[in-house]
Amino acid sequence: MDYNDILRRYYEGRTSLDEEQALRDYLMQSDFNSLSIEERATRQMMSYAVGKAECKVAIHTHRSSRPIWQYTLATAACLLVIAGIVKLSQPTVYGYYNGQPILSMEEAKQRGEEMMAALASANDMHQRNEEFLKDLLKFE
Amino acid sequence: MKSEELNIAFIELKDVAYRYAVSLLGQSAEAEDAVQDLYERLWRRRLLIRSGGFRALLMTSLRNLCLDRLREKERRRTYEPTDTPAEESPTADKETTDIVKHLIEQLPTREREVIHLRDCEGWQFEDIAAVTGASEAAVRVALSRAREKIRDELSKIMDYGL
Repeated sequence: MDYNDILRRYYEGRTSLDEEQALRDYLMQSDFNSLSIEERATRQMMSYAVGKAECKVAIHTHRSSRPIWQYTLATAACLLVIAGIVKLSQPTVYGYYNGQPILSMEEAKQRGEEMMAALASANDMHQRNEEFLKDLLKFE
Repeated sequence: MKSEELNIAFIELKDVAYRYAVSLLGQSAEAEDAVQDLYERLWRRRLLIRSGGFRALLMTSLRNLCLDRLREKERRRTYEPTDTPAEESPTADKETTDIVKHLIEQLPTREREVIHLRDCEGWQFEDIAAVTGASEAAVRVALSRAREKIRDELSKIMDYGL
């Protein structure tokens, strides 16, 4: 690479960024005493530029603000989800027997059949009582 | 532009903006203040800002802000003395750094900002032209003049045995 040509074009403002980087590397890696006055001056300029490019600053930024309706909506959605979870996590009650909840379908069927049988039995006893009363009246 | 977008984009560019402000204003404290001021202005107008071309907008706005402050400073200069402390450089020799910094400060504003954006920030000529409002050819000419002036002054100093 012809660094003299790059150096000449560097001072004419006709070098690319890659060529400037190559020139910078060449000058930085060379022995300072072996460089010409022009090359030394260029190296000092480039050293300054590299150092300056590392300067940083801290600034105070604002926090992003959301409209209040977004917070309200988000809260309502959270409450709905929580209510749904609570509802789904509770067992299904099919009925009550002696004040206790019936939690299985099988038990509910069994209790229902027992209740129907008891009703049928009570009805049958009632009919027999009526017939007995009728017979008693006839006898009198 | 959303608030989060503005914060992210600004934080990404704040150091570049700060160094550019230092190159224009010459003082780090003033540059820091200018960058913070610019952020506040952009924040207030964030809903009107588009995401595309944010860097150019930021740098152009910063340039205008700094030039306004320089003009204001110029008006006050007659009765308000100012001092300009030298920037510390971690990689270059302190004395030489101060000399280069002093030489750059003596350049006209256009040459000063062009040499900063090209040599310190590594920007393409077209980007520098967009921010400074000059043509690409004018940027090259300003850069060439700035580099030659600094080289010539440094060479003179070195010739006298720096």
